Amino acid sequence: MPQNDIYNEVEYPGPYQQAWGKFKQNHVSWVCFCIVMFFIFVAVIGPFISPYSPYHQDTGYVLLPPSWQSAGNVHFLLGTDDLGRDVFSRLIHGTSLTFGISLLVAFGALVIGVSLGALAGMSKGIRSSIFNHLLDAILSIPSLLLAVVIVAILGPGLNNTIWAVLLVLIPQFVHRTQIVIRDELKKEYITAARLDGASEFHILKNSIFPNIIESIILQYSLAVSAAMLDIAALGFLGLGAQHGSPEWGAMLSDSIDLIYRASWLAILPGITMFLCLLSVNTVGHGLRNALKHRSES
Amino acid sequence: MSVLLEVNDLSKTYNKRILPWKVKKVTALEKISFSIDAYQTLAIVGETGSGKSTLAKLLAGAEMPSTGEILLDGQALYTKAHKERCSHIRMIFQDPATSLNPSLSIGQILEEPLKLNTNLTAIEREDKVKKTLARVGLLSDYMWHYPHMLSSGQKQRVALARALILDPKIIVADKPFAAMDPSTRSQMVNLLLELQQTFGIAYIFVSHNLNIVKHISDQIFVMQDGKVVEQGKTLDILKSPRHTLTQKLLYSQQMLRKS
Amino acid sequence: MLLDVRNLTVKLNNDTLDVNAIDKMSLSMRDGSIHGLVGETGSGKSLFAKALTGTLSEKWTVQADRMFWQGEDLLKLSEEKRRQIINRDMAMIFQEPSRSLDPTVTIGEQINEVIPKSEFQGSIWSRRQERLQIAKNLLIKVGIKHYQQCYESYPHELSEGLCQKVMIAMAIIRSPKLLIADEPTDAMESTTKIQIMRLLQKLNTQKNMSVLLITHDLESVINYAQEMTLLYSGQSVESGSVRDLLKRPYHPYTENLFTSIPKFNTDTRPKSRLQTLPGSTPPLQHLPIGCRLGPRCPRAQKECVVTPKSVKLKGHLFSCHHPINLD
Repeated sequence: MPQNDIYNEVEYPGPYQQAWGKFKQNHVSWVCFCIVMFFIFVAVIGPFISPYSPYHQDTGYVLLPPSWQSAGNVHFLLGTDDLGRDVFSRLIHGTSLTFGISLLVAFGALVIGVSLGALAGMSKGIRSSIFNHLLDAILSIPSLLLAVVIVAILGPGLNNTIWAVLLVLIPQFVHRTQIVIRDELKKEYITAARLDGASEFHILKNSIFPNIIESIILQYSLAVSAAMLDIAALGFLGLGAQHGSPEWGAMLSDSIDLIYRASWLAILPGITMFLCLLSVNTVGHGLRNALKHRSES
Repeated sequence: MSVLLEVNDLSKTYNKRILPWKVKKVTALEKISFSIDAYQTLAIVGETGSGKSTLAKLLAGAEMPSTGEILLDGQALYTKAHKERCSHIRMIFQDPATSLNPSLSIGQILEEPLKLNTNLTAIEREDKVKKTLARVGLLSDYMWHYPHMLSSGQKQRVALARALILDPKIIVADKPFAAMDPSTRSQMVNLLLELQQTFGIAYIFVSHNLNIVKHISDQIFVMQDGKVVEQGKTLDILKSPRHTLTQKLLYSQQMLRKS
Repeated sequence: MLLDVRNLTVKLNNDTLDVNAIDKMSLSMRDGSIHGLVGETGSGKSLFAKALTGTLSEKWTVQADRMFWQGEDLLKLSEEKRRQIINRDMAMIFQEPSRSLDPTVTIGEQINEVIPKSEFQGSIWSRRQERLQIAKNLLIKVGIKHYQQCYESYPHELSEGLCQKVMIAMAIIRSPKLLIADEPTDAMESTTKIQIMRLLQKLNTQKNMSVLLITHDLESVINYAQEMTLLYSGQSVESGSVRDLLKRPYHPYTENLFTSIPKFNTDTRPKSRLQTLPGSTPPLQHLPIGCRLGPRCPRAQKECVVTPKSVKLKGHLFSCHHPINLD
């Protein structure tokens, strides 16, 4: 019957398309989204396009100011530090270290945390209550402090920092997932799906996850910024990435002594990090708002 | 005609933990037995907390009974044998707005029970979905819509379609008309009655609107505190109610002159 | 005449949408009557209450030929003056009363908060005693027997019916001339519902307080109201005294609504088809032009694409090109 499909050419935007449309309407989030995309792009291919190696020391050009100043040199776009290393190249490499690693670590924490949280959320009785109280105890400690403790046990270094941050982020994901799953399980369409004969896993996959995705996305954006702050903070304290590494926190800590003579060394990584954190958070909130309102036309 | 559904000594008690070491038993539903035939409608009325929703949930399998058994066509149903039960006894919830998953399209919502309970291919499933939508008076285009695009009346139709899609013998409905406008409600009543006459479905309604109950039901249970205080043919009971609760209910809906 | 609204239009200005959610609606209320405002979900009946009390947000614009409140045009008054009048003369109760009450404060304190200063007569030292007395009197007035217990309890400890009574008590504190009840008994048990309706009726007869009963429950309007106005998609359909409307509706929609209720007393055969209109109420984005009932109306004809003028006949006001029961 041809008339059956007469309207099928009209496109019905799904909830995700609608959310995307809504997200794009918000200019601030859209600009921030572009910035985040730019940072991700830099993090991925940056190391291949940077003009110099981050460790390359040009002894002839020590503490060169950025190129727009009269004393600057156009070969070193953002100047050089006290060992003659190119700040621009170091920032690019730092992007993949600080930001790239944060993205990956937060994603790892998301995968582990959400699956643990789903397990905890779907289980009942004493098991879930033990889980809950344990997590509450862990969550009551500030994440940076916990990371410091873990690094203190494992010893300093970027690798150990990554593990520490991962371990710190997991409980937050577990907790959030567990709470939203609990809320979701009370709703009637879950009962309806159960009466359809759906297994617990099926319910989790088809009925619960599509509805809790917005909280997970928000949590992810929070986790990314927390991870960045933690990695940078540990680097700054000398517990994470070691001196000389192009990690943003370590760069800041290296340049802090020279702040009166060469302020750009501290300001440039600071600005980059600020911009990065701000846009990640804004994008997270924008996405969440868009997803939240997708089912209210 | 043989009995379609038979319920023997069904009851439900909850354990309520007052203190960690002290458990109090709360009886939500005392032992109840009844039977219902095809083409029949049973209405359950009562006040809040009288156990009528509990009974509906037990019948639909949303909760496990504490004692008793449910026989469908003479065969015992256990809550664990989900497959069998969910294709024969289906449930409609009070609020269609919350009983439809907001992130699935209507087509996906309707396809779900088919995927889980039948071995139909994708094409057959789509066909069935379209047919069922037509049966509840919706265009097949609604397959591509999402619940938030529909009005509440249409949502309730979708909920009904989800119940119908497995060709059930019994539909349990928990206050399906409570949140409806009069004209949508009448449309829904008409639709339900039509379906009953064509397919011989038995309905079990939980409701508090005696007007509707009177119109659609054959048998009626009046419940109070987990007990059935009055039961029988709808017309008889509404004409000469014996129990004070029935009288009170009738009176409160202006269906009885105060004597 | 207590309230006289003529051709009220409430327009929604959105960047994507520009519609008249209420389109030239008229309503007039006599002093001391219970007036039912009946309509289905989305017919704009709650919107009307908001337009009347001036509580609409900025995206709505309200226009009317006149909106007379005891001879004063509310729309021509200054914002402040209007608010004063509304504060003094009108009160409103809502559906789901347990949500309108503050869950963290006892009922007593919430009532105390709304007692106006003018109610106190004694010195400032006897305020406490007086407050208690006033609150208790109020609770007794709305028929709460265990007022002491109710006074001390929190909203979640009370049943829905009791909460609504408390809301009514708080509403009548200033003895308003008009009580706007926006679906006061929605989603309530029939036994609780009748108590609330009785209470409203009692307040109406004893204190001569007019009640504007906004509801989709036609039955309670028939039982308790003297006059009613029917709304469909923001257009007024028919208004007049309930008895007249029941006996002889002129508008096809009115007749349809009445017949769609399987009333206990009439002899509709059980399990017979109920009479209804086909289709469903149009959403705000897809309103038909002219008479908005048009596409669903069994008597619709060519003229129905033009909005019908309201006609007054034997005390009814109705708007239809092809009325029934005229003979």
